[in-house]
Amino acid sequence: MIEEILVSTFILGGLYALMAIGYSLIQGVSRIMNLAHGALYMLAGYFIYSLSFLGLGAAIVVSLILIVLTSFIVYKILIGPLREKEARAALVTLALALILQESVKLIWGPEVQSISYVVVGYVTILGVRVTSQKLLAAITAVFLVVVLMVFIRRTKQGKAIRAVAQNMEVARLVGINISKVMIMTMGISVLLAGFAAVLFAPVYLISPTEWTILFRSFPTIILGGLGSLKGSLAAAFIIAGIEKVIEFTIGGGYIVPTVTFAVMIIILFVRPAGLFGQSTN
Amino acid sequence: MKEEKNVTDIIELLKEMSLRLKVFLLLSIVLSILPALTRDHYLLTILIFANIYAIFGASWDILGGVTGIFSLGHALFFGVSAYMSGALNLFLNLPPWMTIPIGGVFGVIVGFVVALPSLRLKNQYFAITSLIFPTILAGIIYMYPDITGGETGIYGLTQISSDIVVTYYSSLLLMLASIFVLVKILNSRIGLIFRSIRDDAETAEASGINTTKYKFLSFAISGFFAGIAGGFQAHLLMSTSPSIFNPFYSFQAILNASLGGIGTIVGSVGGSYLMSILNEALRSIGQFRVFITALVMLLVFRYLPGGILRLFAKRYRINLEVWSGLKKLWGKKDDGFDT
Repeated sequence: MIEEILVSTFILGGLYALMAIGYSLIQGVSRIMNLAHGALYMLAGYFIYSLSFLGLGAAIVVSLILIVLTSFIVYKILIGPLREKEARAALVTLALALILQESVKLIWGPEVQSISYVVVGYVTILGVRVTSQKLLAAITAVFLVVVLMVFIRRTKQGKAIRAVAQNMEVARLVGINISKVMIMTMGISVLLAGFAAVLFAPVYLISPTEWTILFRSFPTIILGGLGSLKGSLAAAFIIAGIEKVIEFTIGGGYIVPTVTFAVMIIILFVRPAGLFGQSTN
Repeated sequence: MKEEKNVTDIIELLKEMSLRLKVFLLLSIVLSILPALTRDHYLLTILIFANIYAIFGASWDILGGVTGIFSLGHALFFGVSAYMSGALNLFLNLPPWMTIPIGGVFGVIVGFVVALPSLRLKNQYFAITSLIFPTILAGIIYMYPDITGGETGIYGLTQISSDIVVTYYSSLLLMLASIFVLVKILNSRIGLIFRSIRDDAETAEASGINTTKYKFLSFAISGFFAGIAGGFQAHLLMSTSPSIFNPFYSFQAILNASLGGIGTIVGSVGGSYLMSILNEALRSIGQFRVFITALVMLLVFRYLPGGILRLFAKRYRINLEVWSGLKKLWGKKDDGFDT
């Protein structure tokens, strides 16, 4: 059983890591809660689903481009103008999530849809048989997070992102184009959600209410602390671990999110800025 | 003579009132005499729900709009009270006029519990936490179906009244009383302190206000009125199910308050009626209902932070500007002609 818990934790942790890091990246830089992040994940899934006649490879590439373009439009029209007004921005993105949920329901129907696997077949690790897709998804997720870390740490653009996150005013003073950095961050953030859809939507299926995956990522986001990539990565596997232990010992269903949400609130009581978060203003 | 003076007094008073308050006054007069004109069951039911959601929206407004504590999970207070009123009615046979206020008291208790993390958390973390709270409660209800009724919830509660007109008037009375009390609070010293916390909590603290105490108070007031609305709905529907904790309920409260104008209390009455009418008008295209609610929400928050009345007020002001501009232009022309 321990092997099974370990393997499934690794897989679920990959999903949480991608979702949480994508979400907290844009929030860390712009202070805006993009509650439509999960809806964009869902939308990317539906893009792949309806473009699959192009062949899977082409469908994935086109979907990723489409979802990033969508994110630019969302940023330009809805989020950018409200950057200084966090509360309104949160509500606007929440409304957007509901609009996307209903649009998806009207276009593709309320039923659950499946997306074809990138890779087929099974592999055995630690004596547990899992589909190759799941393993590929988790490994790619971790790989993408590492690539993002290197990007943020080493490249000029990455340094600009960090500068804006740390102090917007000073970043502006040294000549960084704030809105350019913001829109780039938004693109990267949503690209991660798009990759999450490519990798995990075939495993967990897609439906119009799938955008609430963002809610399930909240414990990870909180535990990781906004803006800390390493923290979010660690938190993703801790939360996934807790969920899987509950699932294998007590049972699945409603109890799993209830317990992790409760854990999340306890963490916040003890450390109001998250476990790995520094309390920047 | 004396009567005449009274009339002018009233006219003066009306002139001083804000546009929002005038609309509210007109609405409440129309609503009070409405059953004399029609006893249509369908129409009155819609209005009863509009009254409940007006209270619910106003209860969000005192916390979110006036005090600036941004709760995304107001359904928590509403739902807990609906369940507690229901349980008290079912198991202790208490009548609605007792269970609804007790439900309000449970709203206060829940308010205190939720207030605790809000004091320590930054705004954004609290927004996330508040969004999650109702989900936790729904999860607990699903986990213990034997006690809580699980997915089907609890049913068979006492009706408010078998006569729809009586139910209508009790909902109207409850709404008007709640709005009256909340507006009184808004305009009192407490309301001023709430607003000072919203605008700048640190400065409020620096000028000697115990912000912790007042934040708790705001949660308590908000929880009480949300609780009353929840209890009333439980008795109206004669049942309560875990779907009451659906985030969509919370958004509805925020939307009603924002549509009428955040931080104004009376605004949520207008917002609630507007949304109820819109919802009923869209009944025939039921599958677009959530879509349109969400679209209204998006447009209001993106473009009309002052609420929908602001739209008309703005247009009015623009007209005035155009008018005075024309007058100026006309005057100048006159001058030019003379010299």
